[in-house]
Amino acid sequence: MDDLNPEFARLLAAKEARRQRLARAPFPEKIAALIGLQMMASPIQRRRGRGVVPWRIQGLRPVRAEATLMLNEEAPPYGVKLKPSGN
Amino acid sequence: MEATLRVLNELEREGLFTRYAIGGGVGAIFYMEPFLTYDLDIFVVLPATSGGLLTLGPVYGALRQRGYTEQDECVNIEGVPVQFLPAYNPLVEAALAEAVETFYETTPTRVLRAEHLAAIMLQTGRDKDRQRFATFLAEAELDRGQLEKIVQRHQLETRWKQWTT
Repeated sequence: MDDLNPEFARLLAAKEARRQRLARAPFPEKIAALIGLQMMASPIQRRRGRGVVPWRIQGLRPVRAEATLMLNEEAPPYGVKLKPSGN
Repeated sequence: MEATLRVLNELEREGLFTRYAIGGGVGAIFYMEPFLTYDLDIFVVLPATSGGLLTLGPVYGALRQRGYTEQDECVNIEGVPVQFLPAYNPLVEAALAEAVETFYETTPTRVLRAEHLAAIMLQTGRDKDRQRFATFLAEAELDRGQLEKIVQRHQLETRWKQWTT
């Protein structure tokens, strides 16, 4: 099997660490993140004929940046290329 | 969600069910990274009627009186579609009996233990359970020894081997 590029391995490890942190976030923050997911996904689901609606919860707390799981990737800045592995 | 749980606590106090706990996808989210789901699965122990029949009819009736409407197999309670699932077998009965007492903000509630949620995924055995199971084992803090005991007690060893090797 090919070796994993060290930079890519570091990014994967960072993703995994973030997942672990998210798994330990307070329950209400996770519910807020879930509703964020529902809001993003429901228009697509409805177009596919699935009549789903995001939860309408009053007084929902804002989600911490930590809990906005899709928006906090540690991707390299634009224009920065990953170093090739080996040699 | 807090208002939803307050209604569930009221129903329990009124004896519509003797115990409830959050399970399903939202129960799993208690222990792992959030993922997309639309229903709040609530497992309940129903009081036996004189004829020994277990029915959700009185629960739906009490909710209708409060103005909550049914949507397909769920009841919309304070903006959240809630699906009630009566304890349907010994594994779910044990899971309900040993559910964790916790708080959502300031409202008391219960969530099934991680080990029971994993065992229920094994028992249910759908594709989505299998996909969720692997991530759940990786992310949830669970007692592996306890899970293996539950797996043995409820004869889930075959699927456990299939899903973990």
